[in-house]
Order: sequence, then C-alpha cells, then structure tokens
Amino acid sequence: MKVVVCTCNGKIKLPSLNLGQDIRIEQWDDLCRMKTQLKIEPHEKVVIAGCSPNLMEGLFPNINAEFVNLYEQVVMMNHSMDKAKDLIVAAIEKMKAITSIEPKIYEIEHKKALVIGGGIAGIEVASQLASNHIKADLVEISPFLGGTVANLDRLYPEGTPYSHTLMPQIGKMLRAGNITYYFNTEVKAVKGKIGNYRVNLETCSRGVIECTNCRKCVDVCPVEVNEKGKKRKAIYFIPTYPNKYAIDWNTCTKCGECVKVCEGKIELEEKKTEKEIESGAIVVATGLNWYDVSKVEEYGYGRLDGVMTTLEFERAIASGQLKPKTVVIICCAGSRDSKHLPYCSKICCFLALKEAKLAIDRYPNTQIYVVAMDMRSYGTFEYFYNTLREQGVSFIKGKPSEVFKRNEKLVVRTEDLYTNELLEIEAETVVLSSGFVADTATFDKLRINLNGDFPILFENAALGNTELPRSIFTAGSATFPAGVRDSLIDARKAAFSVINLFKEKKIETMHPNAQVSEDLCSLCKMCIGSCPYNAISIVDDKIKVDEELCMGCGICSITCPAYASQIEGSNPQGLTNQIRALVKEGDVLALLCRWSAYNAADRAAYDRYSYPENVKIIRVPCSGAVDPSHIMSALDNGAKGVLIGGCYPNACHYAKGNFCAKAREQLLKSNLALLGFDRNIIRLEWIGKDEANKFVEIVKEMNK
Amino acid sequence: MKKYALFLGCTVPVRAQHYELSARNVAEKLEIDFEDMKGASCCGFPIKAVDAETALLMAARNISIASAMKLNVVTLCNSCTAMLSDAQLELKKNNFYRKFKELGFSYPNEITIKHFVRMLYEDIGIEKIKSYVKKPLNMLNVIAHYGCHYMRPSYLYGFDNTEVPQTLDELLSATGAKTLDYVDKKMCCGGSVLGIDEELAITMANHKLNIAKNKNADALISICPFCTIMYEDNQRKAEAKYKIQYDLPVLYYPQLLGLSFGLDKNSVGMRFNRVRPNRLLEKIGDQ
Repeated sequence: MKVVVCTCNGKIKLPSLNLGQDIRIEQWDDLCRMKTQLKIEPHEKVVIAGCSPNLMEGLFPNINAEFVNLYEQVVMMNHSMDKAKDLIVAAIEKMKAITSIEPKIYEIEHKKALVIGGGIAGIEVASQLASNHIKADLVEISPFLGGTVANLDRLYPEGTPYSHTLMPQIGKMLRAGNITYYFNTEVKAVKGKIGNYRVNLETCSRGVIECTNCRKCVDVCPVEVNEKGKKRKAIYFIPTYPNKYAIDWNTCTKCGECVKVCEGKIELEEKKTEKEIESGAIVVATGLNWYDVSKVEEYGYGRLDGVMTTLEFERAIASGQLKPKTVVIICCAGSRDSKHLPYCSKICCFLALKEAKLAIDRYPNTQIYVVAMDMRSYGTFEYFYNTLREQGVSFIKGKPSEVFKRNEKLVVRTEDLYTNELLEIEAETVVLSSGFVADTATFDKLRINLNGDFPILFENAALGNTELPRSIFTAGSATFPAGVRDSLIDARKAAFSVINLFKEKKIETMHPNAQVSEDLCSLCKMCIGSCPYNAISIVDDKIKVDEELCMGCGICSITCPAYASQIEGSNPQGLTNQIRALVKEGDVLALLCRWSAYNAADRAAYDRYSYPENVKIIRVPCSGAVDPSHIMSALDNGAKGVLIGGCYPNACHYAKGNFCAKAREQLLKSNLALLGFDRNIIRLEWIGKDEANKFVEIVKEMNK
Repeated sequence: MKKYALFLGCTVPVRAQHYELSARNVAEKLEIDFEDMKGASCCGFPIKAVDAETALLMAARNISIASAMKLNVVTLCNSCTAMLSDAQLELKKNNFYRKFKELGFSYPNEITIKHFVRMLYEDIGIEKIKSYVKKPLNMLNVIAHYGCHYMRPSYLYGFDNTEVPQTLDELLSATGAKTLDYVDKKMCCGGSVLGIDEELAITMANHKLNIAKNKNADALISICPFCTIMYEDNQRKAEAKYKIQYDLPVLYYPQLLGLSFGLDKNSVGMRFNRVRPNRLLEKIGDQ
C-alpha cells in the first residue's frame, strides 16, 4: 500500500511519518499539475492525502483510493498536524480491511442496436443511428409504422396533421438504409448484458403477401371494426409504411372474400415465427399507454353512450362521424387522484385543448366546455390556451363529481370554483382526457423492475444514474408521456447515447457494485426491498445484483442482517476500522454524506468558519450506508457525540438512503438509554451542500 | 346453518324495532342463527367527529366481544358497519393496538364484519333467497336507497361498485319487486348533518323523496336506521317546508323480503312504520 501526500505547494507541512514497513510514502508538491506523473496500478490500494476529495476524485478516477482531506479539514482550520496523522492512519486502517474494486470490462460485441417501437420516437432513433452508419433493428408490434401519431388527426399546438412531421421522418429513415424492419413483431425475451444481448422476437404473419394497393379487398370485407372511434375493415391500411395492406387477425373471420378479388396474394393463415437477433444496445420507444378510463366509474366510460376518450373523439370528428353541438371535455379523468393515477401525465391538458380546437375549427358553432382542476399549459403553450378562450371555449375550474344520463342526455355535474356554483351541464358528448401509464410489460422483459412507475429513476440524470455504463435506453413517451416535439428531442438523446456507447470496443469502469456472498446469504430477501434501484433479484435461488442497475449506494449492505451484501471498496468492516483508529476519548465524529454534508464541511473552510479540533470527519457514500454498529464503535471509543449528515428529505442521491438512515437513527436512539447513553449523543441532521453555518453550529453544540 | 353475532348498535333497538324484528324473522326463515353480543355498546360513530380515538376504541371493544365469541359480526346499521370495519383496520396498527391492549381488551380470533344486506348477498346468495320467495311482489315499484357507508369508503369494504351500486337492486329484484333506476342513487340522506344544520339535512332528504314521488314509487327501501329517520320521521318536516304531500312509505329491506317470504305484516313490524304503508299492503293483498 502506498500513501500519496500532496503538500499543495508547501501549504501542508506534514511531520515525518512512520506508518510501518510495508507502507511507502510519496510526497508531491502539486498533484493538480503533476497528475499524469503519478502512476497507480488498478489493483493497488492507495491513500491520497491532500485537498478535498471532491477535486482529487475527479483527477484520479477509477482507482482504489481513500482520500484524506488535510487542506480543508486541518490546515485551513488551523488544527495541529497530529490530527492529520490520525486521519491518515485511520484511512490506512480502512484500506487494509476492504476488498479492492475490480475493474469491470464490457465488450461491445455487436455494434447493432435494437429499437423497440416504431412510433415517432423509434423512427427518429433508428434514422439517427442509420445516418451514423450504425445498423438498427426496428421492431413494431402493429403492421404499420407511426404509432400513436399515425392515429391522430393533428398535432398540438399548431394543429398540423402528421403528414407534416411523420412522413418526412419516415422518408429520412428509408433513405438512410441500414435498418431491418420487423412488423407484427413482439419482443418475447431478452438475455445477456451490456453490449451483448440476445433477443427473441415473435413475428406474426401479415396475411397480405403481395399487394398492388388496388383496395378491392376492403370493398368486399364484411367485417367492420371500430378502431378508437374510427370505422375500418378487418383488412386495412394506414398510409405510413409499408405501403401494403394488412389483416387484423383479432377480428378477421377468415371468410375468404378478399382472397377471391385480390390482384396480389393473400394467405388467410395466422403464422407465428420466432427469431433470435443479437444486439449491442436496446432503445425502448414503446410510446403512449392510455390509462383504462373505464376504471373511473363516476364518468361512465363504457357504460354511457357518448362518453369517449380524447383519441376516439379526435378520430370521430376528423372522419366526420360526429357533429356535436355541445361538448364537455373533462381534464384529469383519473389523474392526480389517489384512487387512480397519483401523478400529472403532463400532456393531457394539451390533448384537451387540441380536441377543443379541432371541434371548434370544424364546427365553429359548437359549444365547448373544458372542465379542469387546473389548466396546466406550461411554457409557451399558454398562448394556445388564450387563443381558445378568445375563440369562445368556456373553461370551468372544478373536478366533475359524476356524469349521468337524464332524459337521454348526458349531464356533467361539477362545481365551478370561480363562481362557487354547482353546475349541471347537458351535452351530447363528454370527452375524458385521461392520463397515461408506464409500459411495464416491456421493462419486465428487460428485467428492469419499475414497480409500475415510469422509468424516471432509471433515466433521470439528476439522480446520477449517468455514472453507470448502460446500454438500455428509453426514448419518447416510454420515459414519460410527451408531445411530438419532446419525443423527438428525447429520441435524439437516446440515439446519441447509443452512438457514444458504440464509439469504443469496450467499456471499462471501476464503478463499485454490491457483491453478495453466497456463503453468508440466507435468502431473507430484505435487500430486495431496500434497493432503491430494483437492482437485486432472485435468480435460481440466489441473490443476483444487476450490474447495470446497481449504483453502489450501500443501502443493501447495511440492511443485510448477515453482512452478506457488501459494496466493493467500502465494506462496513473498513468503516469500522477507520472509526476505531480515528476516534479518541472526547471526540465528535461526523459521518458525512459525500453529496451534501461533506461539501458543507468543505464550505466551512472556504467561508472561514472554524470548528474544534476534536471534530473528526469521515466521508460516507450515503447517510444510509452508516450502520448502527459504526456508531456504537465510535461511542465505544469514547466519542462525545456522533453526527450523521445527510441530504434533505427526498433529495437523496440514491432516492431513499436518508430515510433509511432516519429509521435506523430512531431505532438506535430508542435503545441508547438501555445502554446507559444519552439519547441526544447521536444526531442525524439534514445538511445542504452550502450550509456550512448549520454544520459548524451543530458540531459546536455537540462538543459542549 | 350459518351462525353470526348480531350487533344492533343504539338506534335500532330504540327507533327501528321493526328493522330488528323483520331481520330476525327473515333470518330464521333463511336458517341463519343470530347470537346476541352480551355487553355490546354503541359503536362509537356519534362521537367520531369529536374524539376519533375514543370512538375507535369503543368500536374495537365491541369487536373484542365478538372475537371472544368466535363469531363473524352482522350489523344492521351502515354507520356501525363502517365504524367497526374502521376499527378492525386500525387494530392492525401498532400504536392503536397497544392502547387497545392497555385497556384490557383482546382480539383473539380474526372475524369479519358485514352489513346484514351484504351478508345476504355474499353468504346466502340471490338464488337461495329466490327459492324462499313464496309471494312475489311483482306489483310493487320501489326505489333503493343504499346510504353512504354501505359500500363506502371503498378501502374498508372492497364490496359492490361504489359509483354504480347494484347489490341492493339485485336483492330487491329477487323479491319480484321492480326497482326504479334514478339519478343521485348514492346521494347521502342528510342524516350526518342533521345535528348541525337541520335546514340542509331536510333539503337533502327532500331531494330523494321528490325523486321517489316523480317516479311513482310505492316505497323507498332503506337499509340504515339513520337514513330511515331522515326519510320517514322527517318526512313531515320536508312536506311542511316544501308544501308537498309525499305520503311515501319507507321500508327496511328485510321487511319487504319478509313479505315476499309470506310473513304477515305484524311479523315484519309494519305497525312501527311512522308513515303507514296501507296502500302498499292493499296492493299486495295483505290487510
């Protein structure tokens, strides 16, 4: 093991150290500038003493190191160099106990991407990849490309039909080449990991083998289908791509009329073929998934004639099947409702506005009421809302309590919060603008368990998941419901991620993962529930940690009653040793979260605050990675107090680590009295990254 | 033979003897055995708004009595059902259970709590009830009033459709009577605000009475003593306030069921009805 000390151009004046025989000490004057000259082997354990790890870690990524902050915590605080020595010795003790982080190498074996979903986002991803000379497989479950956009009459806010957006997209994709299309195809199973996936596809035959687009089959087909508000036959065509008719097997009666008149070739047999393809990256672009609004029973969808969804209304109006006189559009049908969807689906307000505009554009005398709890027309969309108000659409603030039939007319009962009246609005058509749910089926197949939620946590850069090497991406509305504009931006982002991934032959990372020891694990499954990223699962009666999802927060390692789960490079024993070596009688130990509270301690130095010398700081990955046993060993050494500094509620870098810490603190506090300690000897505090003042006040208070 | 503990509450024995009488007689016909709960008190509902915890503890105490008897509870009143179910849910929470224990109560056996009508629907079944009907009441048009706490809050019961309730209508159809569908089926009777704002309560009661009159219903069928107080006892007040003549009999479901089983009018306690159901009895030929 070696200790690297940076003197920061002579500012840190360490006395001569004698740390034992097998520990080499290197002194450097200015590591910031000489970083390339410092050679560290990947497996070598080092202790780097110098300035704050926030800087040092950036300079030396991917090494097995413990950083000791001498500059901010000792020199700037005018503490004695004995403390510096203690800090270094403690860090060495930690490094002795821990397992070193193994570098993980992922070979990108197949430089080919799989795009699931042929909607506007999937098309954009595929064409961006193709134009960057990356081969793509585009899998679409229906016989035609276009997804939801191909079902729409127009797009908000301009009201342009999809021919303005989707058709040029498809043209661009076809020109780029490099894409294999799979229609009527479903992803059945996915195996493998980063850079090397094997995907099983199941393709259902199209029925129409050769087609001249003569349309005779549609004329003779006896089966009429109402597809989302618009009538079509069982053999049909959507003018996107491919330019070929298709049979809807769910409704086809196989009467054979179409075969008789067909100029090409039709096979009336539903054949399923399976295929396995290989892929280096997967982009999920499965699009919008409507919430089943018939579950919102008070609005009577499916029970009362004339109650329809926004999509059905749009298609019915556009095809001329519906000419209403009075329309009530109900926003938030089932959204922001604890019984249904607790969240706002972001785009349903625009859909409501779009449908209002569609109806009023076609039939200007239509009386339209939009009933909404709040009209959420964020950003530049406010003008869309204002335009409609000028066009005579009535907006009512309220949440309708029910829709019922009286004298063969639909009645919407709602309160109007602006006028404080109870209204009963009679209408022939009631449109429910419902929310959207996540496509959990596809994510389950990818073994990404989202607990029914949208993959926000999986995708969200704000929570730091970009630290992990990944090869599964989401695009468009699969991430969260989005309009066409947002979907395209999201799709380009996903395409860029794939291009970036395929740049190298392999990815090498030292990102720490949780490792579960089979010998110690008793399959109690407590870690599964504790993991904020759903990275832990049981495969063949063994706990398996998904490398692609594990963020290395360490919450599972503390939750495990047998310490079977351990984070590489920071196992609990290491921290215990560090505490044992560092804490002396009468010290105050501060275990600070690296994301917030540790920065506050640094900030204290920059802002010229000072705290007593006996305050010893240890940096932990998360307040949730502190075990009660760590606290007890500090108290055992005679600590005057133990402070755990974490992020504010809901602001945890690892989603819920600080809540775990809170629960453990409560439990430990309730037992402290039994052991003869004062309850307040340990404190868990939320300390933001700039709250130096708060940090200093707390440690001073604890030092009294 | 099915056996239940019958929880009466306070309103039924004092103001709705005909409900109890008819329920017991109908149960006897259907071979249901009711055992009385010795020491049972008020369910706690009336003081819930003032002191929720005491109210829940009162309900939990009643549960502990039934639990000691190892019998599932059947209640006659909607509010009692809600209160007992609420307490049963609360007993699963540590803090509440600790208080419950401190008071010397126990909950040794897991029991279920069901409204009388729900018990008929779920445990006896429509088909079996139909087989007991001797005198179908085809000539009657009735409207069903469910009351709030028969199926709400849904997290307590998970029974029936809270927006479009059906069970009472189905049970009424089993007697042969025709049930009339109407708007505002699940509207509250007004009983819950009676103590604070009588004016409002009477307005709410009047709304449904008016619907029944417009629909030409022979009777309004209730399953909760509170609701009946609003529609029957306070019918006069509504008539005086709105200057309308209703004269609408308000029957409990087991009364109507008893009539269809061939019980005479006294066995179902018709003389206790404040609004005399003479015309209704004439119609079915039972004077």
